[in-house]
Amino acid sequence: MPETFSTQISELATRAGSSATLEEPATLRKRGNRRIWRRRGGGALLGTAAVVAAVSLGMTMTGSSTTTQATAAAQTSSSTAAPPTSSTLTPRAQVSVPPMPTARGTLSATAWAHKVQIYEQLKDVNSFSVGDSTYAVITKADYYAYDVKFYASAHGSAVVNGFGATWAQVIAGFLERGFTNVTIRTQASSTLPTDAIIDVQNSAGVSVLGQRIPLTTPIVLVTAG
Amino acid sequence: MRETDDFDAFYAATSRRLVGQVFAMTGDLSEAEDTVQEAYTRAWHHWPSISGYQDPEAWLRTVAFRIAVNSWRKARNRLTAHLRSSRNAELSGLSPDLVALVSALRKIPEAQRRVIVLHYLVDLSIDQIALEIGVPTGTVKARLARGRRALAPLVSEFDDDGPRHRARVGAAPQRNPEFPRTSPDREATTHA
Repeated sequence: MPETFSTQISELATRAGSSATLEEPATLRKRGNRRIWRRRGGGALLGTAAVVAAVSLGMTMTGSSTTTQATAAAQTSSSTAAPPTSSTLTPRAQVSVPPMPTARGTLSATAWAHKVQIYEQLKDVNSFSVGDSTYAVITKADYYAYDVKFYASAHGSAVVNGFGATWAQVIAGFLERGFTNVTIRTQASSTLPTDAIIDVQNSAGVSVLGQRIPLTTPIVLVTAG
Repeated sequence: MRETDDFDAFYAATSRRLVGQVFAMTGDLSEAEDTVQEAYTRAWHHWPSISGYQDPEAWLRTVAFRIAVNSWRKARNRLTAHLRSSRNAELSGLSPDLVALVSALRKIPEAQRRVIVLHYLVDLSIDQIALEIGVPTGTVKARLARGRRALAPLVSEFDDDGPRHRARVGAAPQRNPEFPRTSPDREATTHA
């Protein structure tokens, strides 16, 4: 009986699979953890660096809890030494932001520039950082195929939607990551398969992809129908 | 830890199969190994979500194929593969037919090769392929037809775009039942 193309290509794939030399899964997990750690740790490290720099420059923080908060930020940073193994929420570094510097006083030009820069950095750390539990940015992932994938950056780049996910799973994914109001709207499409996500919009019908939005924003998943 | 155990078990069960599929795409064992391992590394990053999917292997395959066709990655892998050139010798025992098949597959465009692999090796229906790669079913059919035409000199069953294939197109495998399908009759009549 002559071999069919399917038989031939299957034999080829089987031979390749059995000849492959692959790393142990633990090695790949470790590699993945290092990446997660790098991505999640960057913001907190930046915050700590800013605080350390602020202290070294003698910048005055407002409020009596400055020392405690700076320590808390440092602790957040040191806690990233152990790579996280899941996409659980990372606590946000809480840093007190001093008043906007308005007077240079006796500071040198360089010290003044640093002071302003540090103010901006502290503001950034507080307003949106790794593990921010108030906002999220939803974007399309570029290396997945059919289903549009989203990252809720506030929760460490977790995939909310994935290939083969049911609608219940997609909505549950958003809700688990802190969104409070998720609905679906169908829109006719001649090019996309049924149920493919076309866009994510707010209740006014404006796309929110790529924007920093509060988790309380009602979001509408626009799907091809 | 349950999450770790799940991932390891999934890796053990699927990684070699995936290497075979990527090898059919790339024709290069070293590249297939690197690509698949990279895909699993990314999968671990999102494992809490991916493990809940109905078909996590499809996610891995999609990511692995994307990585494999990434030109920057390919260029780097070629260098790696060159440095590890002895590895390809492991498949040197292939029959002349299989060697010719690898060679022929590498000559057809990546998009056609991908649908050929998904259809004949992974055994996906046209609708399932459309779903997996995110293109309309008509595009899948066209790519399959062109791919078969390109392989026809080597594969006799593709000479006349034979009836066996038409039957296969209509018989969608029972995977991912949630995915929408068009009528098998319509597929059979519209197939090139």
